[in-house]
Amino acid sequence: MAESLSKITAIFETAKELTMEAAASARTATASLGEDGVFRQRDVQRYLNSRHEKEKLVGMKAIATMMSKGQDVTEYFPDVVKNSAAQTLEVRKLVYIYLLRYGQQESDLALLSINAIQKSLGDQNPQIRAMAIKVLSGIKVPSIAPVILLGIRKSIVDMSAIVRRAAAVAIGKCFELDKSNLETLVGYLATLLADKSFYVVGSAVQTFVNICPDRLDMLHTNYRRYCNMLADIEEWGQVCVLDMLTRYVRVYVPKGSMVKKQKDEFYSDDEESAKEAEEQQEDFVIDPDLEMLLAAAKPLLQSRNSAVVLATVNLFNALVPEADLSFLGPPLVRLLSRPSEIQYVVLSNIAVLAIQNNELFAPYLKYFYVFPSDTPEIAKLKIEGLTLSCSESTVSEVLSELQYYATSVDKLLVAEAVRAIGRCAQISNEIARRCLRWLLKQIHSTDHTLVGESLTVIRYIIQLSPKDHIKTVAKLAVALDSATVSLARASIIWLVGEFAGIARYIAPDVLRKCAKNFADEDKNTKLQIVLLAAKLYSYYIEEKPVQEDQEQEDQQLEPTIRPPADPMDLLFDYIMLLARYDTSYDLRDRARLYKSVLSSQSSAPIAKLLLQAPKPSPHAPSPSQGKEKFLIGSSGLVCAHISDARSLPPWSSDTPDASIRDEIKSEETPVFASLPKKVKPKAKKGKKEIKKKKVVVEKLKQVKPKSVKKAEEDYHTTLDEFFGEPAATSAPVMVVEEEEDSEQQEEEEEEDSEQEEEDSESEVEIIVEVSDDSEEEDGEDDSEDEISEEDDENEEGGGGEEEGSESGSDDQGETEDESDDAAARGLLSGQ
Amino acid sequence: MSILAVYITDINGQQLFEYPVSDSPPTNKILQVALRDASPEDVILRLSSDELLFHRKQDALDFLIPCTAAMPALVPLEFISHLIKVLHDYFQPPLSRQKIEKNYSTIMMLLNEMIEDGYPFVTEENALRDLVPFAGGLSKFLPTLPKGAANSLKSLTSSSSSSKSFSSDSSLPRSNVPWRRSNVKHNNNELYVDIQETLSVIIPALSPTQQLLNSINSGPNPAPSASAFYTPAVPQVLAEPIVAIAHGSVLATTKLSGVPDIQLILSFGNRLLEGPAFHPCVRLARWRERPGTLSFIPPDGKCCLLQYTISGVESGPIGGDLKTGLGPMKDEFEVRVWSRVPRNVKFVENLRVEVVFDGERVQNVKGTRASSGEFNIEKKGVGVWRFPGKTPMGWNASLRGTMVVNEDLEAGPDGTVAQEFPKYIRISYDCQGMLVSGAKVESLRIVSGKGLDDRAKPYKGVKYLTQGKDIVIRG
Repeated sequence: MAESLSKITAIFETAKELTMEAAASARTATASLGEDGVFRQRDVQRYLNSRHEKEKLVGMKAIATMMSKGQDVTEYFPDVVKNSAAQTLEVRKLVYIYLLRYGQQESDLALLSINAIQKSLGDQNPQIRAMAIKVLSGIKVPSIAPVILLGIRKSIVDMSAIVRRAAAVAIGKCFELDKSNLETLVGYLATLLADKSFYVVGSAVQTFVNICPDRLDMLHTNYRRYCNMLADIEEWGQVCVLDMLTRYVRVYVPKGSMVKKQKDEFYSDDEESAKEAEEQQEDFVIDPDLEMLLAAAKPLLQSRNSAVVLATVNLFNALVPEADLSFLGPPLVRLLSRPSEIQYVVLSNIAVLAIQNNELFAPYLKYFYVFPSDTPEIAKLKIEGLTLSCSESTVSEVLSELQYYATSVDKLLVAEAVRAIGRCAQISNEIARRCLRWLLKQIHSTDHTLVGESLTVIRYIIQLSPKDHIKTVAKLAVALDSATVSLARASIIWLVGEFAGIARYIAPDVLRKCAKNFADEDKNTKLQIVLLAAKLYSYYIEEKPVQEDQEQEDQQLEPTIRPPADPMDLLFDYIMLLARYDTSYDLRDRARLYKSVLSSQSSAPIAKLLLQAPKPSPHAPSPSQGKEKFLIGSSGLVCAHISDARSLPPWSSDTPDASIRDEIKSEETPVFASLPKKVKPKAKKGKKEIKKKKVVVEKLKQVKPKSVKKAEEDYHTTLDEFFGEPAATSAPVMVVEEEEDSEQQEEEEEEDSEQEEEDSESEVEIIVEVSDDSEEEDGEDDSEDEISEEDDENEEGGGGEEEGSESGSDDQGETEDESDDAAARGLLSGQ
Repeated sequence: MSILAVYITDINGQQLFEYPVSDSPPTNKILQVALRDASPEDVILRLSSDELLFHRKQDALDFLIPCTAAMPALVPLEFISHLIKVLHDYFQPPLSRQKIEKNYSTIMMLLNEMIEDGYPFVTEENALRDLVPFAGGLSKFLPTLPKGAANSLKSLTSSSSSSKSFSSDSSLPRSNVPWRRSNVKHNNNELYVDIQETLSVIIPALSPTQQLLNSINSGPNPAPSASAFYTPAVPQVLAEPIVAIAHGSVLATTKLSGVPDIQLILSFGNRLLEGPAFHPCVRLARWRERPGTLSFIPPDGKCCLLQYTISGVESGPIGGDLKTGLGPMKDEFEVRVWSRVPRNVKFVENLRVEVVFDGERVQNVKGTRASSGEFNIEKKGVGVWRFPGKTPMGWNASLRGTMVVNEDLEAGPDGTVAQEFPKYIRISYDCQGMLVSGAKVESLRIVSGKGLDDRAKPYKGVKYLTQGKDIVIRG
């Protein structure tokens, strides 16, 4: 006991010492570098070129700091690249990040690192393999595209899902680099889209969306599988998969339709469907495949990620808008507890959904009540939500709430609330009357915003049905006596003038009253008074018998004793006279215009056009109206004027049979039989490797537990499909087994010697690889037919077996052809 | 559809950190110009016809993410949320300029894992812990394996070693728990569950009849003596809240070794949860079978298991009202707050009452008399009445005062300027030990724990917290 105790203490002691040492070295290292925030180039370089991993790390951290600050650190490129095979994961990662950022600018130097990275592709740690394919595809040097392709090919059949996922991303990046490889890449992507791991599928679909979003036909056999694994895919992947499945259904799955049948197989809960059955005789019948998707998507409404929730809502909204979607309400209102940015986006989407279906959020009105802590933008959207969701039964509740906002201190809120009241008035005449009563009261308020907005809304309501509102005009005229805000006075006078044709007896009296106080009025009000006078006069001369008119003209021409003039004439002349001597140019000009237009009979039609033109009824749509064309959750819906080209394909009327979505169970129908031949692997080495992998898989099959075995079987299938050659499917397992036995013994030595070689001549190899591939491509004919290819493969197969014993089952994929290598080396030295 | 860059700036827009994702993303300078031109509330700014800027402020830092326009609007915003969570996990909240500047390389490595091809990639804190060295920890060395053993083929040929290599391989995503980091070890095994509810209530002004009832019940209005405090009894008739919403979240802090499987049973009375949202670790089938049951293998550390919303809850442990037109000149207002008789609660903390009035019209508040606490005008239109420390239950306080109206204002039609009163009061507080929704933990047990010592008795704790955020009482 005591012994063991002392042992433990001893261990602790050493551990402590180690830690202290490490801490001390770290301290000294950092202290001497960048202490004052300035990094001297020589110092940094010294650290980068150090032999000690810790010092390298310090150097790389200094580089990272400079990068994060936005400084240009390309000058360190040679020093950094040297560390691309560093032993410490941290250093290596930082070097990789550096390469990803600056590789493009120093492509020649970046090539130096390719070999080390390529070697990592065969590392036994999947994390490092994944990192390698990530970096390889991320260095934007177009000349290495063939190397990347090779790496991807190797990675898509990797044992580890981490690596396959990284490969899925790499496909997208490789496409960005060199778009000419699209067909090959799509072929690789097809393998990953059919991957068994949900971990891979999310990223594969993301890449699919980026490189070939229109190839929805690639999804036939995956559709049902995706539905099944939807819940397991990681959040960001779910967003992509949901979006893509929505598109797929539009094109390939028949649309749901209303059928008069008693069939109760909808995805909704029991009570809901019971209610549905009560309410409507006809039922909503949908394709089983669509039903499968809807059932799989519904739980995603409970995702903690709001982007997933909106993508799910979009799916339901786009695919089954006819169905009872009341279950979409709660997840959306729940998101209103999130940070204000997310609330803003969610509320914008709620508004659009409510425009399409105003019952959707009717039970959740309370969530749209404005709190003082809401930002103005959110308050605005909440008010819109309230207005859109209110119905005749809830309108009084909503109106009293809006009226509270309308009398608050916040100007923006006031304006928004009064406009909202105007929109509520459209629900029914009864409500319109109620709104009008309240609005008329507000004219006396001292709040300019409230008065101005109220009058706009009053005008709107009157114009909807002018005949019913003669009394309202009268009330307005009365209100003019006590209204103090000049804006309100101007508006009222305009309104009275506008309805002078209908409410004949009101306008002249208003004009009479206004004439009295003309001098005291505000400029705007004066303008309106002059306008009112002109309008009234135009009605007046229109009705006056023509004779009289001429008489009047005569009188004007020859001023003799005038008969007692009509009060209208006098009033008009008086106002014009007042205006003529006003200080405002504008007012004087207008008065002159009206006077000359109205003075002669000949210009009467013009006057009528000018002054009695029927004004269009003001349109007061909800602010979000017109946003329906955007997809739910898209940026276009939230931020106007952007080129968000995303839109859903229309429902196709002619959908293929559902059997195309049958999952492939055997080799019968290869996943991408429809792909062009070119997709088939070209490079010799790659093929060889994959064959070897397959053998491994077959071996695994024998030893793995059942569940894994099943997965591997399917995995195997895809590989066979990949080759599409009978020779491969009936691959002689025996032979390979032999190979492996012998291989394993030789491997150790092999690797040793190989590694040394490669380290010393990294540059050479890249060139070899590149030239190798390009040669092959050159040699290949585009119109190459099956037979010749098969011949090729047979040859290779034979060669592979022989070579197998030589180069071993090199898991790093560096199955260099020795002679080629040597030739290239010779070529180089010749240079 | 891609993220173009990630910038972190201080609150003044000075750049602290940049991480370009695309080749030539818009620079911070361009973004700052766009921000300056926009109204501060705009969350999504349009940079050009196909570029947008998403941003969010947190802990005195501003996170800016320019994106292409095809990006679904919530992806960058949720990404920022995840990024903040991860940074909190690595560097402890609150974040600061210093913390960012000290940890450039770690943040860079984190972002390198979090964004791939312009789209969020690995964002789980636990998964990232496996990928990026935790600040302060010694750097991880690559495993240097003996030659030959490094050959994956060899290990795969024999069944035992292959299965081992799979389970011990730290970097392989375990298909069943991708959110839990591998090889978790704790000396003290602990498990805490915190349920927090944020309460938002709107109480309308009393209707005239209700006011009348109150005045009858509390007798005639107290004599208009300015010196005496009017100590209120809790009024008999209270306006019913028109809105009372609780947003709740169930947080678990797990410090358990191995891979524990936990079952937490909650009860919400008969209340209906509107659209609950779950952490991916929660088994939804169990919840569907029996609502209230959370069965899960938690990530290590903190996580939010469940978020829910309940409407129509109680109005909370603190009540208040606002009366106007009191006193001999009918120009006084009175604010009263009281705490209700509690169940398990001894006190509330950080009680604060905001008295909000029209800052344009009101020049000053004079003759304020508070029975306790301190009242100060803190900014235009807002007076704050604070009760520092703990406030006991079964307590009440009142505040009286008169608003002085700005005399420059235009007079009403009758030549007088109308007396102003507070528009509403807004109460906020923290209250531990209770939940307004009445939710509670029925049971919390560790069903099984692979790698957890059988003898180890993990400490389990449950905490409730109600935060009154927005208790608005209209006058």
